[in-house]
Amino acid sequence: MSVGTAAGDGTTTASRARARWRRWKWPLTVTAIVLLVTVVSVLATPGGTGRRLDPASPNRAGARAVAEILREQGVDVRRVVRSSEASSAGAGATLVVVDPYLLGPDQLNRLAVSSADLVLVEPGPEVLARLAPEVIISGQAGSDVVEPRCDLAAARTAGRARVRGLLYRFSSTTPDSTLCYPTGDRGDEGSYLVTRNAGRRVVVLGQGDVLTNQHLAEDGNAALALHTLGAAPVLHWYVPDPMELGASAEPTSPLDLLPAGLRWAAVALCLAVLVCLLWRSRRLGPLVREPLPVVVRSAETQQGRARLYRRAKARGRAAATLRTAALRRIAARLGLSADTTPDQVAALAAHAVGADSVAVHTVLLGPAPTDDAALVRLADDLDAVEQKLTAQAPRPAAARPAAPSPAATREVRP
Amino acid sequence: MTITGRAVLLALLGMVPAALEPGWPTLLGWWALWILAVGVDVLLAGSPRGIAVERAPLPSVRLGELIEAPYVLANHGRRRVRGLVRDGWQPSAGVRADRARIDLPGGQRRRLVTTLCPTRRGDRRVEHVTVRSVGPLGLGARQVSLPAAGQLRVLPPFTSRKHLPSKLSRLRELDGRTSLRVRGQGTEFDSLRDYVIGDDVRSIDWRATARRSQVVVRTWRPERDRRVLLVLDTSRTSAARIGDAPRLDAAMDAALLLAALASRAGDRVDLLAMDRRVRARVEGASRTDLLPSLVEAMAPLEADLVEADWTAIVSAVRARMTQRALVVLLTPLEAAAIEEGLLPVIHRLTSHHQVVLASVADPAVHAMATGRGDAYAVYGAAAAERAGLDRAGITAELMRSGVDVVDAGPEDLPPRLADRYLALKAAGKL
Repeated sequence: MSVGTAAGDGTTTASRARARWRRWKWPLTVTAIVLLVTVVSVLATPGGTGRRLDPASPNRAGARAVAEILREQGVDVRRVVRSSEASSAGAGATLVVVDPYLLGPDQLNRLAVSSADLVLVEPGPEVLARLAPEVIISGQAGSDVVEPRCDLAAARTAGRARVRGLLYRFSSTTPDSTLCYPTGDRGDEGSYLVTRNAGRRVVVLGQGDVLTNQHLAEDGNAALALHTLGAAPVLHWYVPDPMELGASAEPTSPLDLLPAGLRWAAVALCLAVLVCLLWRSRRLGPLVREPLPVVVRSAETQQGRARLYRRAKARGRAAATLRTAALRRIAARLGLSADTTPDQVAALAAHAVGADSVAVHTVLLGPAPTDDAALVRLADDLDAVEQKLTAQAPRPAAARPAAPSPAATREVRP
Repeated sequence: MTITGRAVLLALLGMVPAALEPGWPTLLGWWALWILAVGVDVLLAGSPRGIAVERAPLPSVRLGELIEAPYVLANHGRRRVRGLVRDGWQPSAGVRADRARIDLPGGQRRRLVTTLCPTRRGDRRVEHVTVRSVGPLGLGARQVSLPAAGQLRVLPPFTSRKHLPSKLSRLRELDGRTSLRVRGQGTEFDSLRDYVIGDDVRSIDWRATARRSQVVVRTWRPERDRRVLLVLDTSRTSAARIGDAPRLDAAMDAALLLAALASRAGDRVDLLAMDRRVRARVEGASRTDLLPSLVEAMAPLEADLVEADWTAIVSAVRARMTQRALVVLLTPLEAAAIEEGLLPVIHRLTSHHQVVLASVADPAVHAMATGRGDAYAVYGAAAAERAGLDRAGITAELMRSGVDVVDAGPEDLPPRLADRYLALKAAGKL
C-alpha cells in the first residue's frame, strides 16, 4: 500500500511559491494601488495647513507667493511652528509672527528673549504689552488703499497699499517710532508702525492682507511686503501651532508618573499579547466543507397560512374550516355517510349528546364570529360538543389522528 | 509555519528584562533573540512534507453507530517529526477527537485511529490530514495539510427494525391458514389436512375425502414471488423536515421495513428513487443481499428542490413492471403536488398494479390543529384543519382512483405500511 503513496502534499517549493503568489496577488495589488493613490494624493496636495498667512499655503489667504519671491531674492525663508524654534532666531534675522493670538505667556516670553527683528501681524493687546509696550491698539477700520504719508523707505517705495484693518497708535513717542498710512481725525493711528524695543526693530502690521497671495499683486502691496520681510538675509516665519498652547502646561500624564521599567514591561506585554494572537489564530488545517441539506419546516406552510388568516382577520374562513373539520369528525364518530347534510349531522349530534339542538346547531352552523374573542370561544364550544360526544358514545372506528374523510370512515367500517 | 504556546511564554518573559533595564536596546534585543530562537526552531523541525498518509477504505456504518477510521502516517524523511496531527473530517462525521500527538522518527510508520459517530446519513468525506511538526525547542512549528481523501458511507438507521419481529410473526400466521376464500384470487394451494371442527366446510376437498375415510380440507398459503416496487419520491416535498430529519428519511425507514417483511414473505422487492430523473435503483436483488443493497442505494440520496415528474415516474414503473405488482409510492400527501402531478396519471398505474401511497404526516400540524386559548392559536388550528381537510380531500380522490393511502407520522408510518401490506397479502390482493 505504501509503495505507490507519495509523501507530502504533492507540491514543490516552486509550486508553493506560485500558489502563494496566486493567493496574495490580488490583496497585494489592491494594497499597492491604495498606497500609490495615497502617496500621489499627498504629494499632489499643496503642503501647509491651508491657514491664513501660512508661507506654505497656496490658497488665496495663504502667503506662499511672497515667501517664494523672497526665496528667489536670496532670503532664507524658514517656516517654524514651535516657539522654541522661533526664539532661536538670532540677531540679523527677521521673525514674522502670524496669528499671534495663538501665543501663550510662555511662548511670548521665549519670543521676547529672541534678538531677531520682529514683524507682528495683527497682534492683540497681550502680545503688544509683552513685545512692543509703547504700541497700543486703538480701533478697527475696513481695509482700504491709502497713501503712506511717512518717511519710511519701505512705505515710500511701495506707495499706495492695502492697509487699515486693525489700527494702532503709540502711547509714547520715541525717536525710533514711525507711523505710516495714518488715519483718523488726528492722524495718530495707523496700521503700519515701526518701533524699537529691547534693541531690535519691531514692525506692527495691522493688515495681514498685504502678504496674502490674493492681494500681493495689487497696488504697492508686494513692495511693502518684500521690504518689510526681506530686510535681513534670514526670515523665520512663525506659524504658531495651537496645540503647543495646550501642551505648554505641565506634562502631568499619569503614565509619566509610572516608573520607566513598568512602562517598558507594558510594551513588552503588548507585544506578547500580539504574539499570543498569532499563536491562537493559526488553525490546525483548513476548514472542511459541509454540504448542508435545506431546512424547510414541514409545518411552515400551515404557520404561514395561520399568519395570513390573522393579518387578514379571516374569522369567517377560519371558523368555517374549524366547523367543517368538527362536522366531519362528528359524522365519522356517528357513523354517518358522506352525503349526510350538515344540518342532519348537527341535529343527530345534538340528539346523541342530549343537548339543546338549537344551541348545537348554532355552534356547528351558526353565523361567523365577528371578533377574535368570539372565534376563540367558538373553537372551545366545538371542542365541548365533540368531547360530550366522545363521553356519550365511545368511538366506534379505529383511532385516526388526522381529520378522517368520510371515505376513510367507510373504509374502516365494513 | 506557526508558533507554539511556549513561544508566547518566552515573549511574556521579555517583560522581566524590560522592567529591570528599561529602554529600546533591551526590548529590541529580546525580540531579536525571540525571532532567532523561533526561526532556528522552525528550521530544525522535521519536515511534515516528508510524511505520507495512507487510508484504507472504510466499511459502511449505520447512522448513530460508532466506527473507527484508522490511517497510517509514514515518515519518509530523515528527521523525526514530533507534534500534532488533525484528521480533517466533515463536522457531520461526528469526530470524537480529531487531533492526536505523534512522535515519528524518520523512516517509521504509525497507525492512528479517529473515532467517528456520524450525525447525518450519506457520504461523509475527509479531505486532508494536517501535520504540525514542532521544533526541538518547542517554540516554532511547521504545518502542512496533506491531501488524504476518504469517505465513509453512512446508511439509514432503519430504526423501524424493532417492528420487524412482530410483523414477521403475523406473516407466519397467514401461512398455512385455511383460506376463507377458496375461489379468491391470489392464494396458492398449500396442502391437504384432516378436517377439524371450525374449518369452513367450503374448503373441504371432496375428491381427496373420497379417496380417504376422513374428511380432508385444503389449506392455502399467501402467494409467493409477487413483485413489490418501492417508489421513493425525492422531490422538493420530501425535503421538508419533520422534527429533526427530512421526510425522505422517514419514508426510507418505512420502505426498509416493508422490504424486509416482503422479502421474508418470499416476494421480490425492487426500489426506484426518482424525482425528475432516476436517482437510485435496486433491481433483482436476492433475498440475502436485498437490505444491504437497499441501504447502500438510499444512503447518498438527498431530496432535491425540484418538482416530481409523475409522468416520468409512472412510465418508469410501467417499463419495469410488466406483470402485476404492488407499487408503493412513498410521497407526501401535498394537495397541490399530488393533484397536479400524480392524479392525472395515476390510472395508468392502478389499471395494472396494486398501488399504495404512503405519506409521512407532520405531528406538528396535528399539534397545531388542537391549539386553543388565544386568537393566534385558533388561527393556527384553522390553518392546520384546512391542511387536514385538503389532505382528506386528496385522499378521497386517490381512493376513488383505486389507490390505498397510508398517512401517518414518521414513527407510525413503517408499522402502518407493513400492516397494510399484510392485509393485502391476507386478502390475496397481491
